Amino acid sequence: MAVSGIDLGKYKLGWSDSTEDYVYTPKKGLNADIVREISHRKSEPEWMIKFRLNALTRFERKPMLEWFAKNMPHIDFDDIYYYLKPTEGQVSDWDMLPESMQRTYEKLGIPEAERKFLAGVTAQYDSETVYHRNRDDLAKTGVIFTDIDTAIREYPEIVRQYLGTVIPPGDNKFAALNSSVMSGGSFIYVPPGVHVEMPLQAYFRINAENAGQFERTLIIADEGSSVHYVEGCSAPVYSTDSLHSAVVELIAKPGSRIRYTTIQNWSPNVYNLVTKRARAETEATVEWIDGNLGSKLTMKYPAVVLVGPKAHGEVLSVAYAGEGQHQDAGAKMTHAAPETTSIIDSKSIAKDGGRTSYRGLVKVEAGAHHSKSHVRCDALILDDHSRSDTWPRMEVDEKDARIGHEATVSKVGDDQIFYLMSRGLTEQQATAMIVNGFIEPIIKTLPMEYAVELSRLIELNMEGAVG
Amino acid sequence: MSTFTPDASRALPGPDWLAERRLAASERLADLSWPSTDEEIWRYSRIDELDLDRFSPVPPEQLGAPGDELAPGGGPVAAEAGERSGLVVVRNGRVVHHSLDESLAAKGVQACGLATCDRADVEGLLGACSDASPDAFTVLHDAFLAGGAMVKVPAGVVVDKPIVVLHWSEGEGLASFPHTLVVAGDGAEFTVFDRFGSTDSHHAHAGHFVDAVVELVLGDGAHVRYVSVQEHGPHTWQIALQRAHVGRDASLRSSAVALGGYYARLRTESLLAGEGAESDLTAVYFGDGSQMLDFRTLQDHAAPHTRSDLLFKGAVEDRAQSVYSGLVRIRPGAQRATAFQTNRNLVLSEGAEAMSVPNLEIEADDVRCSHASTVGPLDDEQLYYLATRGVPPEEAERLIVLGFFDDVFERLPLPSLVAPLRRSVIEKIEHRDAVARASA
Repeated sequence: MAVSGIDLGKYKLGWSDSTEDYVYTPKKGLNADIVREISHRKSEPEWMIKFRLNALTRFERKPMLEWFAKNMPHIDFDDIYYYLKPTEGQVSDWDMLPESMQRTYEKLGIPEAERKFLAGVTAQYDSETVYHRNRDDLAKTGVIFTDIDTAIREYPEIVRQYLGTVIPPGDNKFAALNSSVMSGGSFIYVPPGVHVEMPLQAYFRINAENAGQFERTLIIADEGSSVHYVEGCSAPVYSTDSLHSAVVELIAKPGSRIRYTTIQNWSPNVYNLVTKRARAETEATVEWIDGNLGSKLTMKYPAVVLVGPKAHGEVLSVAYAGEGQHQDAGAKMTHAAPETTSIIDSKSIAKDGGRTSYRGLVKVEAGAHHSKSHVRCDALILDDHSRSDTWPRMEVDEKDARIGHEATVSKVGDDQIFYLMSRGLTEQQATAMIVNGFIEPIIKTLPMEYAVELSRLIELNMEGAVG
Repeated sequence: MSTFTPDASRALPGPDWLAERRLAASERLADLSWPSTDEEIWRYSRIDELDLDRFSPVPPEQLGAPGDELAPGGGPVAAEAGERSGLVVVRNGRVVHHSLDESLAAKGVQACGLATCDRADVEGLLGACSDASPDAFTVLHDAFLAGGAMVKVPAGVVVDKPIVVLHWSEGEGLASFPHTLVVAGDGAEFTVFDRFGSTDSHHAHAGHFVDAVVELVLGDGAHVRYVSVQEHGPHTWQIALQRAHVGRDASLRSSAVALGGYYARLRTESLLAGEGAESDLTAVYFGDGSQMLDFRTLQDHAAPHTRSDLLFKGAVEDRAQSVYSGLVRIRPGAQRATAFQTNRNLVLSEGAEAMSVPNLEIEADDVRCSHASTVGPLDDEQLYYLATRGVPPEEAERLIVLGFFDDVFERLPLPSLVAPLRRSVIEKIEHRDAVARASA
């Protein structure tokens, strides 16, 4: 059966803008000088320079993990721009951006989304945040939402207290890389008891060729508060590779709730190597909703460390791998306190030679009694040259813990297709409907506007050939 | 590696072809890289604790020899193998006794020693499976293989009663290399019961090292049932490979029972090589004391319309640990393959630990594959229900544990083993309860 009817098709966000007007002439390569230069340009305090340089040493010393290296060809760390500054300062009005940049964001639909349903928006272009605006009522609640560079300058005491506490610079090679050259990313602090009703959004755009984007995001939800953060990403199509290596740290204080949604749609020349981890304290809930549609290779395993009793962690993940793509995604849950619970639900679709992998770990430490975890991974393979792997892992060091894992890999069932065709659908319509149903459990957790966006991304082109 | 030398290998007796095979392997010993827990396939294992220098190969005078008394019974489960049609007894890696019903011998069935059969009988068969999945320990095994059992059933022959192989290893500080080669001709049908046992040393740092290989070669349309029961002494190290190559429309039903050893590792692999091949792999394991029972499995689908099903169930108590790490691999072109993989673990004591790592690697689209794995304690609701019916808690635990194992017991190809297995499980639980009472 041919299923070429289901197609994310050509990458549609692959245009690029000129880099001639960038305010800082970029230099390739990674060394202490560029790290100092980045820090200097951001007028950072001394402790931050030390943090960066210390991380650089760790990056240089740290070997690439074997399983990590297996997925990747040689990365030439000296052929990447680590700092690309497109504009002088940031603005809070789209009209104040250079015209081409403004057009880019219009095409991506960010200003429209902002008008409709967002409490705050930050837009990053290469290394810097070029636009940021919060809804007026957001500030009144005491919520801080800004880019991380501004936060380092204006709220150094909070940043210093939390930065690198969930993901220390030495955590892995790419966390060390990010910690040394971080630029841009979001900082959010939600005061105790405050519920941010509308989502806060960040949009990350890589524009230049050979660019590296290393944003750093830090979100702190104080006691009893809640926040939903959404990020999207895209990049131009180049024949050379770009590197996106973010670090995201979430701190959910007792009783708080953080939902973090990612719709990743990088162009097919981006290596997306991201470390995301949350600390969930007593009775806190952290949800990672992770949509991986773009990039050449994504290696990303959002994690929740459940440190307080009754904390809850969830990862809901949808991955699509088309031609030339490898989505190596997964999740990690560490149960370090009693009565903690976690759910991992992963759905993946591989087509046209694409490869999807689920790589996960559920760890229950001794003393985390009455913990529960359930992991479910389902994969659809739509043709005979695509591939799917499932590598979950369960380490249980506690007697009173219930841990379960289930996975299935299949093609679209002939009997399902037959049933739908007997009701008058074409084969493509039937396949499309089944694929949509397959990812439905994840889609429905998204705010309506994003669900529509994701469905649009998983665009169903009904004009493919039937074989 | 001071004792596992080419000279020690050369000192072993046996026919020239076997000596040549050993020599070829022993020359590779010096260049071997010995595994560590850094490697995924050895992760969680106790390999870093293994000091091979503490062991030396069984010297020629301590190998089993024809006329030696038969090996000790080797545990309660082995004793109840029931009726049999043939018997091969292997002591410290060499056959000391073999017998077979005359009617079967007349049909060309063989149940004998590898070292005493003709080279032509094993040519192309010995090593056919293990060479396809080598590691440092299969090379070591080949370098010191003194004999071992061979069971060969010609094409079209059906054997009703099981053929029994008893492996016994003894001698503190010694290493033995048991081998079982099972060859099924096209359309042959039979059952092999293979038991591995060793001395019950009282010294934690003495013990015995067992490096075993089991090869199962199934011709087209063959149907083989294979049960292995491991009842090693509590200080024995075992590193074993069981690998099957299953031909077209052939089926293997294999069960492994693991009860003994200090560290007992079994790599169980099935290559579904021919179209329509089937493999049913089950295991029962129960760890107590400070044991570690370690399983690595592979269901390798290399042909279309193949089917595999795996069910491994285990319990751990005291400070025991278990590892299950399994892979289902569907190779490109193995369309219409069906593969299931289930691992369930009961953790019965504070301090016991179970790891479960079920993996899928799928490179064909028209497949149905699933896996499931669980780790957890006894179900409170089941305990509560039994309590409301007046069942004392200790009795309730036994009932639930036996119930947990019931479906995998039912899939044992030898029903006569179920009763002694149930007793072994109960004994392990009772022993723990007795220790707990004594220390209370």
